[in-house]
Amino acid sequence: MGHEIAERGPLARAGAEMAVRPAREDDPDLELVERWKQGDAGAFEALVRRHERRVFRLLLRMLGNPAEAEEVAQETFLNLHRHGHRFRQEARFSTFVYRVAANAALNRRRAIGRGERREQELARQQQGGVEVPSQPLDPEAAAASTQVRARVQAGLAKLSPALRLPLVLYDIEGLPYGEIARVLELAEGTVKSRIHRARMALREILGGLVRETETGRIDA
Amino acid sequence: MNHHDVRARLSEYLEGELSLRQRALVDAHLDACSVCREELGELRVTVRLLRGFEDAAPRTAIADAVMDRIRAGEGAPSWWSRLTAQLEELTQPRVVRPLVVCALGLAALLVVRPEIMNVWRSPVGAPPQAVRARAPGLSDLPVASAPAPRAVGRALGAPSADVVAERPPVRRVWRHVGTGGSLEFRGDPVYRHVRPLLSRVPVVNEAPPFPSPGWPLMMGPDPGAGFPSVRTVSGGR
Repeated sequence: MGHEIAERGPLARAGAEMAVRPAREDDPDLELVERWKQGDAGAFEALVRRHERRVFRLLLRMLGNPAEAEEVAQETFLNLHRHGHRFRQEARFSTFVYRVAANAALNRRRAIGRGERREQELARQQQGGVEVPSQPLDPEAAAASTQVRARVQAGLAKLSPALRLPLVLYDIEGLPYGEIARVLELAEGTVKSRIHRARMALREILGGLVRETETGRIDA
Repeated sequence: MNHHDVRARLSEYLEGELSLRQRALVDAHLDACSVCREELGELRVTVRLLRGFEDAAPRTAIADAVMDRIRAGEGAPSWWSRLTAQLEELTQPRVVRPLVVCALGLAALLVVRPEIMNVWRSPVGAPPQAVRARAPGLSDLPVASAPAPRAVGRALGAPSADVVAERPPVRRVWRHVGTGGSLEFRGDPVYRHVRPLLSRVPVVNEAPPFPSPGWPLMMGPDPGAGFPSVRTVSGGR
């Protein structure tokens, strides 16, 4: 009954071996990181190119605004360059990048002012539709799909960062629980519990949309 | 399994993370509870909506912008950042662990061989006279400043004799005796007698009060004589 999500879910995507793998040996970034630490600027640029998209995606889902996400992504990589020597290779480099990006997103939210201005801005964007690059099949479906995404994004913005971050990392970015626990420096059980609470809260927030989608009136 | 328990496990149920037994219990509850069935359906749709987000790409090349800003001087680590990084480096387990092991080893060595500390505690070769001056009441006792080894042996071996140590402390003396600082005693009955006695004697400072009469103590090597000078408190021969 419930296995269909697990089959295409993050655990399936990441592979069960992720949960037990050592943090460093299979890190595909290790060579570039070593070169960067030895002063190779090209290696750092290659790392940025490799990770810019996932950092942008995370920030977009956390902040809701593409322009702001791009700006914070730049800050994330500058911070990474500034504090990269703190990367001890005890976890994957991508985990470290996610952690820096998550902190940048949380700092940005605090700077905005505890979310109030953010909510207003998102409400405005919801009316006009958030611009998210996509490859729609047909214009009608694209319009509906864009509207649904905007409503989901607005719903996400109403969650507290403590719930939103693990939810985005798991359900959108597809990270396994263990890696999310390392990114957020939380226990794996706490991560699972927050994801469940975030889903339940989002279900409440999206209420009507969820029911319409469930009955087939809207195609998700 | 009640309504509350099932609600708390719906995500795990969707992800297929429950044990077979738990899954059977949830299934049984879902068969009977339409509210939970509805919640499960809505939760499934919520997850589908979240996972339906298409891949998003930045409109500008973030890497180019970042590298331009780095070339312009941004993103350089501050002196504070470098300092904290170095401090963090020092507290890394690979640095700390060997230090802890060394410290524990040293502590264990000190427990087993506490006399090692005497190497620093007492300077070797300080004039015995200074000690005598700080030991009032003993200065009038006869001093055998350079006894023959056998005389020392007699003093130590006699049941009524008390041998008073001056300086350096007794354990230090033992070290000297044991390591050949006073070769005159090696192989002599004196050495064999002194050794068990010294194991009972605490390290004493040169300052009074001296241990009570009856405690056998040895002195350190007399720099002038080249071997311990011995003084008897009572009944010395």
